[in-house]
Amino acid sequence: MPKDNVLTQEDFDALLYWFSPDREEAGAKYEEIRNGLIRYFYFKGCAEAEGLADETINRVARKLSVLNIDNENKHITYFYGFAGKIYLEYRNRLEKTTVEFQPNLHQGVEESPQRNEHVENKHVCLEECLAKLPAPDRELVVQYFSKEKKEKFEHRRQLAENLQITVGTMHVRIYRLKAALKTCLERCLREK
Amino acid sequence: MKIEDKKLRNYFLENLSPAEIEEIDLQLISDVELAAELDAAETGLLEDYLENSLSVEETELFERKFLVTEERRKRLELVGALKQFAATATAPPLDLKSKAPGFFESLTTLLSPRSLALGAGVIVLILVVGLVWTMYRPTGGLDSEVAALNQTDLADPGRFKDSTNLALAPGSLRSGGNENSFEAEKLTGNVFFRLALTPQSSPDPVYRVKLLREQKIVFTLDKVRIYQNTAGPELRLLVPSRLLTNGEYRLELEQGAAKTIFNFTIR
Repeated sequence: MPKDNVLTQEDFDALLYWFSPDREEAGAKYEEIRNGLIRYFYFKGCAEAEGLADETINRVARKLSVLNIDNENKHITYFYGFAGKIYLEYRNRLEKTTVEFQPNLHQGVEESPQRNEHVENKHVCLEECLAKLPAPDRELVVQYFSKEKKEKFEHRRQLAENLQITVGTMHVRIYRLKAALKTCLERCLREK
Repeated sequence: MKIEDKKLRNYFLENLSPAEIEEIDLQLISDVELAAELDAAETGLLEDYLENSLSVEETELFERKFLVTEERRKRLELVGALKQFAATATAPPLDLKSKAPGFFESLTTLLSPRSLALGAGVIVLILVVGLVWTMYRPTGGLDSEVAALNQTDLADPGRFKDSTNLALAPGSLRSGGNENSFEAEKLTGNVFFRLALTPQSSPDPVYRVKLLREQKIVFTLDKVRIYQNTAGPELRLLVPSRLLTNGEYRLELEQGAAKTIFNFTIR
């Protein structure tokens, strides 16, 4: 990990004080900003969203003494500037190490024993992970993804109506359930 | 502040001005509620790509701008797997008419007033045929029992995790390394069979299944459907464990003239 990820206690204390002289309030602000940065990197498609969020915070903290702080600006503005730079660095690192995407890589893939085993493992893991969910959650996920194309929109509206929740609330549930499934799947595949 | 879905999709496709992207980025960092909206937009985009519902321009942007990280490819795979699983899980359950008509049901049909009109000679003939059929149909009662058992929806294998699961590939056991036998005493309740089929072997997703022990028919089950999963098609079957005593077994899957064989041993 780059040296930017190392943070001294002095830097960290200064950062918290910048958030608020009240230590508890500062801690809450720190968590709020860290979670916001994790969301930012997650939706940019970064695999290590938490690590990149921490790197962003550390860089801001290390540069705090030389930053030209304008009290009119929200804290988030400073973090956003650093996060954008770190994201670009991340993309550059990826471009150097990643083979360009080929659309047919995920469809019509050539059969091989290793791939068949991987697909089989993934199938088994998905079933195991779905089985671990409480029945209503499992049913929601299955129903949510059961329809295709235009049909799915009406189906999902109906689904939310039947559950007596808004479509937005249903999306929040699906978001959390998918995140839980992804974590479970990754753990399961590592163990296979 | 609610952002329209189209704009969120274009955010992922990097099809917005830098100012618009910044606006969403900043809102995302400060507003926890936007995450679920963005996730729904991202999932919708992934689904549309998998369903070939994106326009040519969107597809090009999706592949060039969105699908640039391994993490996003994993998300695409997850959504694809979930869609495939859900499509199978919510498919209509086993055909309730799969139970083979029993002898007396057949007889009742044949003894309708219209049939009676055909005359006593025909009835005698039917009785003779029925008698012969009954004599040479060794396990008619079992057929009905297994057919009734398999009216259960088997789409969700998770429901049967407490049953003994036997995953078979044509020829022998698929799981369990080099073993192709199973201890009878470890079988509990109903045994959940998962029979892997090759994609080419399933143009018509209905099979006739025969279980044979030492070359004698234990039961026959008609119109058994297959299920699709990420690994390919598979036929699922529940069999009462009491039917699986020590011996050499063969499951025969018939589809027209084609036959697929699964061998296993219970010891």
